[in-house]
This record gives sequence, structure tokens and C-alpha cells, in this order.
Amino acid sequence: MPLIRVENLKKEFRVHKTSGGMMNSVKGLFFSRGEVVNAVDDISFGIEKGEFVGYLGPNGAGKSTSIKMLTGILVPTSGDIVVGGITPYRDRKLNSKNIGVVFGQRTQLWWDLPPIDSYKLLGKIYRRPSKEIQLKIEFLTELLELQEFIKSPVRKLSLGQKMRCELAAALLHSPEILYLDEPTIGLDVVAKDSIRAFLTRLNETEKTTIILTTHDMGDVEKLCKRVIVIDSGKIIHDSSIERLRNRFGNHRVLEVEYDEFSEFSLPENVTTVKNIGNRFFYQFDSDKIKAPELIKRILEHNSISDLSLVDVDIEEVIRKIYHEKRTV
Amino acid sequence: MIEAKIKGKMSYQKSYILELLGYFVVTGIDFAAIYFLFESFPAVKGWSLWEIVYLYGLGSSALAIAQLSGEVLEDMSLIIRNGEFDQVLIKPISPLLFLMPQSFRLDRFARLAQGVLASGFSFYYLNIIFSWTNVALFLCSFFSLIIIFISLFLANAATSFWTIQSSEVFNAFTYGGVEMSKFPLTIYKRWMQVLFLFFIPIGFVIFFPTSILFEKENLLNFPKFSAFLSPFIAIAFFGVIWVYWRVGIRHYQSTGS
Ligand SMILES: Nc1ncnc2c1ncn2[C@@H]1O[C@H](COP(=O)(O)OP(=O)(O)OP(=O)(O)O)[C@@H](O)[C@H]1O
Ligand SMILES: [Mg+2]
Repeated sequence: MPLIRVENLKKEFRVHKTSGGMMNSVKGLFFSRGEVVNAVDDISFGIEKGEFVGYLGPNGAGKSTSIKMLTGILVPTSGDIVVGGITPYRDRKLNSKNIGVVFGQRTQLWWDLPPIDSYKLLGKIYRRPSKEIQLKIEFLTELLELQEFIKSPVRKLSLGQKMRCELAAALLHSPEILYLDEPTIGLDVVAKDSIRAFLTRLNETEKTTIILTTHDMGDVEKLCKRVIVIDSGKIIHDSSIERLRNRFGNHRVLEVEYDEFSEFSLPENVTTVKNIGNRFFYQFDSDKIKAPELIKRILEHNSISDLSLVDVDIEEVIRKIYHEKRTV
Repeated sequence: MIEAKIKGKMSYQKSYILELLGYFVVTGIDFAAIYFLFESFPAVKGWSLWEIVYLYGLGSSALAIAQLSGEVLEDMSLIIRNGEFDQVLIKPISPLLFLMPQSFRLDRFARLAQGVLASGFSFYYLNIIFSWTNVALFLCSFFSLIIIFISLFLANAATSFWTIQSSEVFNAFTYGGVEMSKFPLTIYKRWMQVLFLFFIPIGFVIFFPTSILFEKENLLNFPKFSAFLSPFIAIAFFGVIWVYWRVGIRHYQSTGS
């Protein structure tokens, strides 16, 4: 049985159009009219222990709402969730011992306290022996390089420093599952890299199951082994990252700079994506024509000064998936 | 948790000292206000000045303790809006246990001291003897009041699970109740008496124990033992509000990021 099992999960929000004033809000209390938003609309999936799953989708797709139901914050409108044998919203406290959560735009550290003090408090909340927490703090400080700022109040930390501290806070009690809702939002390249390296290590050596939502395709490419895409509350794609890449054929792009370009006929299955002066971009399906073959054909007709080969990036594929859904 | 809160405060040393100074100024003004109030009210409906000082002291000290333990619940809609409540729900701790210690504020001790002083003086001037019954009567009112005030904070908080705006409704009862409690129930109109006896039982838990303590005749036709029903009434009131709070948590919608 999978570690996380979700079946026909739904969440409706009722959105009131309140026009302010006490009478109106009292009315809103008793007569719940208003529009219904199907934030999560009948989704099912299973996640095994040790998986690293990217949970993707455009803004408002229902990612955060799903995470909130998985973590026991929200009670589903209907459907089942079982996480490690527990129904999160029913056994909220039991479930919480098993999970770590980071919401990229929120903080679980006490704003006025240095992270180290927050960690000690969290250790007490999770009822862990202080010896164990001490060791864990040292371990995470080392890995996430928190030494320099672990003793300054959280309000004085930069976004990147804070995010590293958040990760440590979520992992103090050694949870089996880690939920990350946009953990790299607003971070620079270096900070992103250090967080990604840490997460990879966590997944590989500790076998922590990680579920990540992000709008950064770099995260997906570098981290996730499986991708679930949702839109308007429904799952529109669920596969390994390789299958995702190949979904629109095994596309690659060859970039060529000619000394002097003279027209020639391209092989089948090759299209010119764009050209800037003497620089041409060809897209081809590597299942149908191999790169060396294409290069040979080009060299038969022209002399070139430069050449490079790139895989189609995940971003492009995801864009196509979002777009495909919209136009259906 | 309380320790963390104080430590957090200490980290803004300057503003902390200013805040402390503020408490003393406010307390001073408060005391002056009581004095002037009593100058113009020698006695009300058969209750003497010092009997009313007692009511004032009882109300303030109970409110101070209730605020020290549960005032943070007043900020529930903010706690929901800034996502803090999501964070609470992913911890292996009951939300109240996590939130309530954050109510701790040093300035509330000023109100507490003021309340304790007021009741102490009134006991002295009224020559109330230190008997078991009298202590029991005082404690009945005192603890029941604390429970009711905390319940009102909780009701206020639970309401924000449904609607962010209407949280003033219960606030009106809390602070209205505090004002009301400064005078004997008999001076109020019939509907007010009914409201504060049976719906928001602040009047119940103050009036009956106090009337017996001061040997008043007019018990609004209630039997004497009503005084000792106060704690049960208060606990029942809390029970109802607790159910409301539990239902609220299940109804919690969080915020769209
Ligand atoms: N507390 C709420 N009350 C009402 N509607 C909500 C609430 N939370 C979310 N929604 C609605 O549910 C839908 C899904 O929101 P959700 O936050 O899950 O999206 P998301 O995929 O996380 O988007 P983003 O990428 O922008 O974070 C949106 O239409 C949103 O407006
Ligand atoms: Mg979101």
C-alpha cells in the first residue's frame, strides 16, 4: 500500500460576497449562500515511500489546497486521504508528528526569536528529548550552513537565510514526509542551488518522501522524479519525469551558426524553429532522426562556425500541457 | 512559551521600557477615574460605595486573569489571515494550548493589582470576616467570571472561522459585561437582567454570591443556593462555547495563499 493514498478528493470553498457591515456578516453566518469554488475536484493518486514528487499547476490550480488537506489543516468536502495509515484531518496531532511542512510565503519561526530558540521550543512541542533535538540542530546547522545567523532574530534574516532556517524547523522531528509549498519563491540562484542540493541529499540518504509545489521548472528538472500536474482542481498529467519529457516526442533543438548560409532541403521530421541572421535553430525528434545524422546533412551543404545541442526544457513541456488543457 | 514571549519582547529593549512606563501612566489615570466616579456616586439602590468598589475589583481582577490567559484569541481573525493558524494545525498540540500562552502581557498585571487592591480595601472597610463561607463566595464569583470571560474570548475566536468581520459581537458582550458588572444587577432593566443571568451568565455569577456576602435581601426571587451554582453555570457556558469552537475548527477554510 502506498504511503500516501488519495481517492476522489474534493474541496469546495463557498465564497461570500459580503458588502461589509455587521448585519451583513451576521447574515452571512446564517444564510450561507454565495458561489462555490471547486478548488480540488475529484483527484486520486498514490505516493510511495521515498518518492520525490513535483505537484505542479498554474496559479489557482488547487495545489496549496491539496497540500492543506494532506497535512490535516483543511477538512475535505468529500473523498479519502490516508497518510501512513492515518486520516490527517481526523488524527491531526498524530499525523503532524510524521510530517514536516514548509509554506514558502509563511513562517513557522517566532519572528522575534533567533532560530535556535524557536528550534528548542519546537522540540518541546514535538515532545522530543532535548538531547536528540540538540544533535539534530547541530546536524542541520552543518548541512544548511546556518552557523552565521542561527543566533540572530528571524526578523533580521534575509529571505534565503530564513528559508534555510524554515527547512531546518520542518525537519527537527525527523518526519517521514516533507511537504514543500513554493520553497524557492523569491530566492536567488545560489540560494536555490543550496536548497536543492540539500533536498536531493535528504531524499536520497534519508529516504524522506518529498512533495513539492513550485513554479520554478529548475526545481522540477533538478529534483523531481515524478510529476503530477493539476489544473482547475483536476489531475491532467501524472508520470515520471522522463515520460513527461517525451510526452510530445523526444524533442531536441540543434543550434547552428553558418559561415554563410545557402538554402538546402532539411530532412523529414526537422523543423526550423527560428533564425537570427546566420544562426539557425532546428527542432527534431531524436526517436526519428539522430543528431549526428542531422549534423552530417547540414555539413554536406554548408560550412559552419559553431553548433550546440539542447534538450527541450521541462518548462516548454509544462507550458504545452497547460496550454493543451486550456484549448480543449 | 511564556518565556519565549518575554524573551522576544526583551529583544526590543527600548520599546519594552517605554511600554512598562506606559502601563504605570495608564494605571494611574485609571485609579484617578475610580476616585472621581465614586465621588459622584455615594450609593446605588441600597449598595454602598465600598460594595461597589468590591464589584469593580472583582470584575477587573477576573478580567485581568482572563486576558492574561486568553486575550490572544481576540486576534484570531488576524492569526487566520496571516496563516499562523495553518502553522498551529500542523503541530502535535492543541491549538488553544499553543495560542493561549501568547496572551501573556506584563501590563495586565497593572489591572490585576488594581483589582486586587480595590477588593482588598472594600473587604477592609466593609468589615467582611475571613470565614470559609465568605472565601468560598468570593472564589465562586471570581473563578466563574474568569471562565466566562475566557469563554467569550473563545466564542469570539470561533466566530472568525466563519466570518472575519463579525467578531465584534462577542467583544461587545465581554466588555459590555465588564461595565455591567460594576453595578448590582438590580439597577438594570428586566431584559438586561435576563440576558446576563441566563444567556451570558456574568450577572448570575457576580450577583448571587455577592448579595449573600453582603447580606442583601433582594435576590430577584432566587433561592440562596444559586450562589453556589455559579461555577456549574460557568462551566456549562464554557462547554457550549467549546462545542462551537470545535465545530469552527472543522469548518476552518484557511486562506487562499
Ligand atoms: N480559503 C479559501 N477561501 C476561498 N477560496 C479559496 C481559499 N483557498 C483557495 N481558494 C480558491 O481555490 C482555488 C485554488 O487555490 P490554491 O491556493 O489551492 O491554488 P494554488 O494551486 O496553490 O495556486 P498558486 O500557484 O497561485 O499558489 C483558487 O480558485 C482559490 O481562489
Ligand atoms: Mg499555492
